[in-house]
Amino acid sequence: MTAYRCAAILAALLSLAGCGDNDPAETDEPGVGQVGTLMSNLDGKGLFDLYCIACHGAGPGHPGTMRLEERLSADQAPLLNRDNLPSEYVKLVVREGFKLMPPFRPSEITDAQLDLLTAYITGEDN
Amino acid sequence: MVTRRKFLKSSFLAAGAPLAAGTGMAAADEAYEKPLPDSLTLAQFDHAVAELRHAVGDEWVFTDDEGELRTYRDVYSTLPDEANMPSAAVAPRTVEEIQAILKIARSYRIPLWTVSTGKNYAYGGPAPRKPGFFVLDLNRMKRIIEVNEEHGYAVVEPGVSYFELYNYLQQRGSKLWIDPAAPGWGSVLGNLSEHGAGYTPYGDHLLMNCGMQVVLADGTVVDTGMGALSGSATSSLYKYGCGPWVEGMFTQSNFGIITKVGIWLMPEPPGYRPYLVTFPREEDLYQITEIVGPLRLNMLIPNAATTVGLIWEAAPRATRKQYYSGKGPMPMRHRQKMAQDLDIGMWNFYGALYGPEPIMDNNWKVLEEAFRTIPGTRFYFEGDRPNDPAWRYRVKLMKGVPNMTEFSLMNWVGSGAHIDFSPRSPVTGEDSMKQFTLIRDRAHEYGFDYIGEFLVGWRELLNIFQLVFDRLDDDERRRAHECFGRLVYDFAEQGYGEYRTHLNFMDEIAGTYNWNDGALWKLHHRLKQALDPDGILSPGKSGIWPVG
Repeated sequence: MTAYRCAAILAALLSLAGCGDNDPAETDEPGVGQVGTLMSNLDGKGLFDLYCIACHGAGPGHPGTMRLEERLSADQAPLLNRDNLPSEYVKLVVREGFKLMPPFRPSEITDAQLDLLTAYITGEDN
Repeated sequence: MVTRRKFLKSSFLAAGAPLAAGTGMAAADEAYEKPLPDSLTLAQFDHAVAELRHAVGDEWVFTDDEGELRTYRDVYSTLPDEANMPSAAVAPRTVEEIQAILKIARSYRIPLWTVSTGKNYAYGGPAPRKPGFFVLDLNRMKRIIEVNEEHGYAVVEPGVSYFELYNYLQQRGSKLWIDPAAPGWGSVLGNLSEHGAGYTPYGDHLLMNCGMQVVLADGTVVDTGMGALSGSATSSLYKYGCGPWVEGMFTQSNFGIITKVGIWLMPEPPGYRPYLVTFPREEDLYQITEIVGPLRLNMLIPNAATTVGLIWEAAPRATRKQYYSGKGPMPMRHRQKMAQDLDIGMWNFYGALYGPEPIMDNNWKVLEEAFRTIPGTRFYFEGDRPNDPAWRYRVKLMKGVPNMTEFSLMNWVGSGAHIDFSPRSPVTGEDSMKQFTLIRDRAHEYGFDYIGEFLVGWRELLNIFQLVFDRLDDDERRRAHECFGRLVYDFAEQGYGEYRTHLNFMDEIAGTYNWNDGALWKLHHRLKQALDPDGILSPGKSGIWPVG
């Protein structure tokens, strides 16, 4: 990733965080808020909880886990239990989709957020 | 970032996982021609993209066909990816950026296909109607502008998902419920504008809309209803304002870009009691519908009254191959075995009671007495089905807790995808059986299982048929496409119309609304010409094309 690209992402995140000049509804009033603010501050776990856990959590009712149980042991089916996921693989499945899982767009999960998310899933951020 | 080409050569593919097959991924080294709008040369495309980058920032314009743009595919389409591949996508964050994009689009006559969270799968996802269109991706517009606890509403932008609104309310201890569509990743605004539904008493999403902001093709920003009054105190409280009520005109249409909606939220009731009633025979649908219709009309059933078919109910915990390995639709004896094993019915009715205990007690007496007239009926309540994910997700949906369990239906077959056929009829036993048998028989003829549910919205019966197919099987995709096309005409002949459809069937379904020489769609086209003379906004949406 080029320095320019890093800087652009940082600028975009700062803008999402409400630091931009053109944010018409920036406010601290009670009951008024911006999910954009919350999202830009999400760490790997926060991103996983928002985008992944509903399909890949442990236990019944999670379609991704149900699917993975067909070819993995039950304890390896929840994504966070996997101990053999290469980072590159995680990133590509997020962007390409796999089986029933559609891709996630960079307008949903930026490349910088994907790095955080991947590190959380693979345990590299420990 | 890994490139697609590198990935194809990785050990993953070598291990035999057929990721590329059938997903429309062309061989990596195959010659590739970028799809472009008819109105643009490649040089003009490059100039337009440069201007868009200047307007919204480099990071938010996507043009890489082998990278970012692949995330805009409709991976559940019955057609190859190429049928709906955009040439670019642009993701603004503000109304001002949308206005700047519109100015560029008008100047180059760029077709802009608008999506919000882009999760409208089964109807097209984030993909545009035609190859080469630009996607106007509003997912970054994520402001929850207002939540009013006292009056029970929120005002949100297009990128706010059900999960996000729910989390936001929960984090603040709100006592307001949301009403999510079954997949919780959907957009509150997007689902409303597609006439989507949920499962609480606030399930008719467009009915619960109050106030809208729309950006017209010429960049004009319009606040509707009471919002048109400068300093209005009731923008999200009274729907109709004064003068014509125009919100509906901007839904399922291409007359403007909705950038903000007010949505009424249900105050948490003092009591909630979900229930499931199972019925043993397919033909019970007739009597179920006869019973449920008046109960829903009189609001003893206050939420979406949902009668779920066997396979839909089974799919959160069973797959097809566990019960049948043959080709074609699963035979009845296998379906009966599955029903017995899972302790479910051929039909499974979900409803809920809301309110103070005495009211729920009294209403239940009426409901129980009515359902017991059907032989073999069984009742289930909270605590009766602790390990049944189907029960659990329905319990969540009927009290506004978003989840993704319904996507388990895509596990029914190998690499499941689906398109949804969604006709509406009157709420009578005869109509329900006619709808059911028409779809079941046509599905079986094309080799598919019937996976459906019936919902009584209020005075109409919606049958959602999930045509689930293996997206890695080219023959199944072809058959699914043909089956769907036949159903459109089967139902039109019976006077039943679809309320919503996939990208690839919009013209066909618009064509069935043809009374008086297609007068309604002629009106739509006159409006299109007046509001968007350059024809830049979502051309072909709902079968509405730029004039000329």
